[in-house]
Amino acid sequence: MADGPDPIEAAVRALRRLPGIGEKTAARLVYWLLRAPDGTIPAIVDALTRLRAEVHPCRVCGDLTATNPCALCADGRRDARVIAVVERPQDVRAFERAGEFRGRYHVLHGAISPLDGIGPSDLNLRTLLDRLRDGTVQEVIVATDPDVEGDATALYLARLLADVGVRVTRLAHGISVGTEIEYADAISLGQALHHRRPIGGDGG
Amino acid sequence: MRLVRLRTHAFRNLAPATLETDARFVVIGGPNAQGKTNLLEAVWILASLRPLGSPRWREVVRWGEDQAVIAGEVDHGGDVRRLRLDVGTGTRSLRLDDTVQREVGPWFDAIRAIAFTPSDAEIVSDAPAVRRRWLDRAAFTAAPAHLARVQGVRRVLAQKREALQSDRPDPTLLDVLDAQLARRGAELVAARVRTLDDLRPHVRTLHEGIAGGRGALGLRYRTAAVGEGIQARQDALAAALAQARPDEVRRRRCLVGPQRDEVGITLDGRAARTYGSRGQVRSIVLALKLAELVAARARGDRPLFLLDDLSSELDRDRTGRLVAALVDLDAQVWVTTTDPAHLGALPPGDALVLRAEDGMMTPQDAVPKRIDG
Repeated sequence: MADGPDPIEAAVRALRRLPGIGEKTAARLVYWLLRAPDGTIPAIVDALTRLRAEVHPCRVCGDLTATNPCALCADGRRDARVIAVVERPQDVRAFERAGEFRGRYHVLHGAISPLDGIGPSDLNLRTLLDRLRDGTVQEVIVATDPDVEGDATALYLARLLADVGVRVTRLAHGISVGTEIEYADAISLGQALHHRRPIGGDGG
Repeated sequence: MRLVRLRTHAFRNLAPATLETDARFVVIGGPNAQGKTNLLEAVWILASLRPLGSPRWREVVRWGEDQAVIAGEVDHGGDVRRLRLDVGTGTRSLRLDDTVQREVGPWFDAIRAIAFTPSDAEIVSDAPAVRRRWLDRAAFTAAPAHLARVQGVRRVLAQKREALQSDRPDPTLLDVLDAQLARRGAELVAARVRTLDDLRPHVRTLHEGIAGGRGALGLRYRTAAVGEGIQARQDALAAALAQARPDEVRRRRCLVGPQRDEVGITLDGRAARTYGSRGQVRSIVLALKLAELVAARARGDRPLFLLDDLSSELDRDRTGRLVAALVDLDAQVWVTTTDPAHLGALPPGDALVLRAEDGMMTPQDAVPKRIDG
């Protein structure tokens, strides 16, 4: 018998470290893997190993990518005049799924949160300032989360960029599309009311 | 809003049971330590998602069980909402109309309550934080969006406290946090002041009437965020924060903001906190709580009204007046008392009287005798 802990236990424990995976789910995955067709486990191991070996932050936007610069930064058809600043790489995916945004991105890898030990210097801000230097970028859309940390990050960015000469905007938030006002919950409705905007000019 | 069905499982010492009623008055009688307050607390938790008083969540789960369940159905004039709260170790999950909820907003559209318990005397007699908490809760009952304001300010303050702990705090970071505190703080203060303004006339009327209080009752909000309108308050708070900055950095503490405000309660111009007798304090607290219900009714809202251990708090006269007023107010009332007869006249055919014994609730056939006069 091999040394060390029972391999099934070890695998369950390893999987449990993943977010959203509890004891039961981890055990189910392990037993599924034990019966999976040949090649399943090596394929997973290979994919995970490549993740670590090949994925790096893009030198332009900071998104995680296997190419450098990333495909989005390399795509000349995208509008270089607008940059959406997001907290996480996942947020880039979310924007891309929506398919409405044709500009470029910048990933901060976090939001200002002294409680989590994250100050402005821990965010990917230096390269953002570099990108704004040549005057191509006219608008920075701050698309941080609508919470205290996202707000702090947005305010900080607004101050940081005040002298750069770009327009700094913030993503709106409020009632979900498809929700009739009658059915909107009070908190969302209150937010929407708070973030109301003038009608006309921009089509709505 | 009427809670027509309540089910608990593994909740404190209550025997697992389902209670169904369409009564407007649910009276839980019986000796102490039989589970009366626990049943009332189940209703309160369902309506507020917080334990009554401030015990830990862990304590509401019956010893030896993993998970407690409180479920209920609330009738909104024919539209019935189904609510279910599961409380586990460190976890709570909400299901509204059988759908898992991540946000609490929709939940509080379905159920809300105002509670009056013996410990509420501390609203008048304890530290300012308790009065602020009462006012925030009243503002929340009036408009659940208030929760976001309270939590937002609390979070900004936590961030700022942490930032002030550093040896050389980044001034721009403090500027940003103060700007957030000024904005969110001004919104919070404006909402608190608005709530107090809405309640004040009702509090005065109720204090002189039902509560049997004497003297001119004053309610005043004291804050650094003074001014007319949110912008003015924000500017005032921002100025106060800027002025306090060197002190705050030196002492590494937040010295200015809505967390330092006070709700001044006075009787004939004197602080009720310091000078109020026990009886005066009770009259004031009853007036405050009942005013929330009256103000809700004025908005067309019908939150549940929960009264814990009524007999120990109020004499027979005041209890009689209170019950008569509650009948008029058309709210569903859940009340615990050692002596149901103490309540006086309950609406005939619209009251359910339960007897609590060893965690079990038994409906009593006989509605307590009407007491005339």
